[in-house]
Amino acid sequence: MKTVVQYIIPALLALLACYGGICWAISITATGNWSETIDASDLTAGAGSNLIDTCQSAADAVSIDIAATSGNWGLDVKKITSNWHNNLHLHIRRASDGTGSGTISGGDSYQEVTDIDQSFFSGNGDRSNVNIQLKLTGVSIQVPPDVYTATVYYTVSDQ
Amino acid sequence: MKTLTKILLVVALIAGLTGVAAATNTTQSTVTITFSEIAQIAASGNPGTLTIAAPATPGSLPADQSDASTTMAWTSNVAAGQTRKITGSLASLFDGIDLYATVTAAGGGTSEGALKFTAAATDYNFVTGIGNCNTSGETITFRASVTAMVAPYTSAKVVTWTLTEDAL
Repeated sequence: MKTVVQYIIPALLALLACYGGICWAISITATGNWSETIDASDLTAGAGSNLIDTCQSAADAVSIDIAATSGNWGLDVKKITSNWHNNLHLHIRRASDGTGSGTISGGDSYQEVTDIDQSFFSGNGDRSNVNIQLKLTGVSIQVPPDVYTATVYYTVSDQ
Repeated sequence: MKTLTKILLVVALIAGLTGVAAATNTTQSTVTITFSEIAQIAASGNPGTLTIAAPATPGSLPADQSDASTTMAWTSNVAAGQTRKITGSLASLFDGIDLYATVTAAGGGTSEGALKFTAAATDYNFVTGIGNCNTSGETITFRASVTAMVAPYTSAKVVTWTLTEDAL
């Protein structure tokens, strides 16, 4: 009976906890979205001219919190589009370090967001309010009027 | 029994470590880009005065007079399967003179060539089939053709150019 209480029950609880994802479940939260409207005010020089090639969000369009970390982590990014135009390219960069006891590095230059996960930035420990800025290139009058949408996925993993 | 307990503990430890190494979490944000319809058109200004001179040969009508000093620019985007056109309308007709106009369309669409403003305040299609394009410096040529001798006069008329939807 002593053995059951001292060893087996804790061992089973540890198993349940780990399989249940309770132990060191790193978490990530993204707050904010980016909406942009391209219209005649974006022509470079009025009638006869083309649209500006590039538009970008505010530096704090999206804010990311990473918590419950157990050490080093890495963050990947990808997009899934529901209605998109081949001329359009979405780029992303980390616009601030955020705050927290941990460290953060990489991702401060724009990189294109593709349909497959790509390394964005990495760090150590918890970080809050990491600002994310987005940029769209390939804007032109060749893109038909429509609403184009991309869902950007941020995946954090312990490393 | 103790051996079994140790095995369970080792398994739990390995499972725990594995869980740590594979821990991931995902969140998302949405990017929404709205491309609005754009239909912008501009003319560079007013053409020079078309002055009808006396005919070189007595008994004939004065020669036609032309001006190609003005240009047009337009920027247009349309939904798939749609096009736009540029219409021109002369507010009122000249007495004894037919006015023709031509608009080139090198940068997008199809020029319909020289068209006469047959009726006042009526739209005529000068460029058709305009899709997603931007162009400038398209030459507007006006030609005044005397049809009957009338008393000398000076008159200015307004031509209105409109970039509008083509009929589907």
